[in-house]
Amino acid sequence: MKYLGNFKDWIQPELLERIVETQGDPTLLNQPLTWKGHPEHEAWYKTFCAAGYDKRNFYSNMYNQYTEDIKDFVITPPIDLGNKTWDWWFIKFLPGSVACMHYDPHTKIYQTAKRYWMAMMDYHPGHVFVSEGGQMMTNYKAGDLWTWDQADLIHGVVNLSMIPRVTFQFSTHETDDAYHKPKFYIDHNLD
Amino acid sequence: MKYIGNYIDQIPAGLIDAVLNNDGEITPVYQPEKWSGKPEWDAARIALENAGYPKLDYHFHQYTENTECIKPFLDQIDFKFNLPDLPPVHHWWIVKYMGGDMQPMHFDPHVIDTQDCQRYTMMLTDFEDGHIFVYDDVLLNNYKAGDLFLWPDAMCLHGAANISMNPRISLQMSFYNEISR
Repeated sequence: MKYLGNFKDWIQPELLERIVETQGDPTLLNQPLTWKGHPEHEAWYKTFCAAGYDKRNFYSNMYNQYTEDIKDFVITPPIDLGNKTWDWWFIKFLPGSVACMHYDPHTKIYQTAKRYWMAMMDYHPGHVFVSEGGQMMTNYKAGDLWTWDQADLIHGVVNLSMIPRVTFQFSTHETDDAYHKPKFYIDHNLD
Repeated sequence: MKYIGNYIDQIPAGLIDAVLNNDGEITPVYQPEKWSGKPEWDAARIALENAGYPKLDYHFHQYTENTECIKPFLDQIDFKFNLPDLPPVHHWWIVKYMGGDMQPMHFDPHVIDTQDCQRYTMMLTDFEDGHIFVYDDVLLNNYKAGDLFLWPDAMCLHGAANISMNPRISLQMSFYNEISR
């Protein structure tokens, strides 16, 4: 992870409060359709099922541009992204919520994908965010922003604390980075 | 955690497989009956309740001297591992976390009823990403099966989870003096 600085002033307190108090889009960890169409995805989903995650009802609460609960807020990038295309989402992990070790599937689609992670709350013991190589993020402050060393970094989250955990995530890719997506699917005979 | 050494050679062959292949005692995260009549545990119980853990029906797997599948191995293991200066009272338990299993942040309630408690953990599976044991804002990582650690403080706040694709097993031990009442 490369630290890019603290952007606490970017955080809208009313937005954070809205996220904490609403459900957003409860999103199941088990999403079989997301992991179809590419051998790497399918191999990952096979291990996911073998570990029994497909039989659990883990979910997190997602908030993006289509989420009713936050539609009245305007979200702009906290840093200058130039002409790159960006996708953003907030995630709330309630106590006991789990996202097992995974890579973000969209990062395999765009060759120029870059991933960013911002804390919306100060670190709290039990807010566990780990990445491959036995790394854990601790002692961060609300507004701290990092970019990942590689967009498809294996990572996972569990909230073992007694309070919710909210983060802001975004990904960028070059606007003309389109060839990779069709190739990704054509190679595997899908639409 | 203070690393003490690797004692995998003193773990009887077959014990780890027995734990991996059997459910043991399925232990709920939320155990209100265990905490009843203990006012000093009320704060922890109420925090769990307020956070919503009772609704989640989570559990993990425990193995003790009364667990059938590991009984054949118990006379082959000295749980004191030749450690010097241990308080006399000893109790141990093995914990298995399957994918998605967890225990939220807590301190071990039995420690309240002890004096001079020394807490040890021996990992029985190699570390892999997603095997979570956190204490004092530290993730215990890169250990090998058989690695034994002494806790910095028996009462330290800690939590465990498994968000990997493979089970995580550890042996937990407490050595202490009884509180005279």
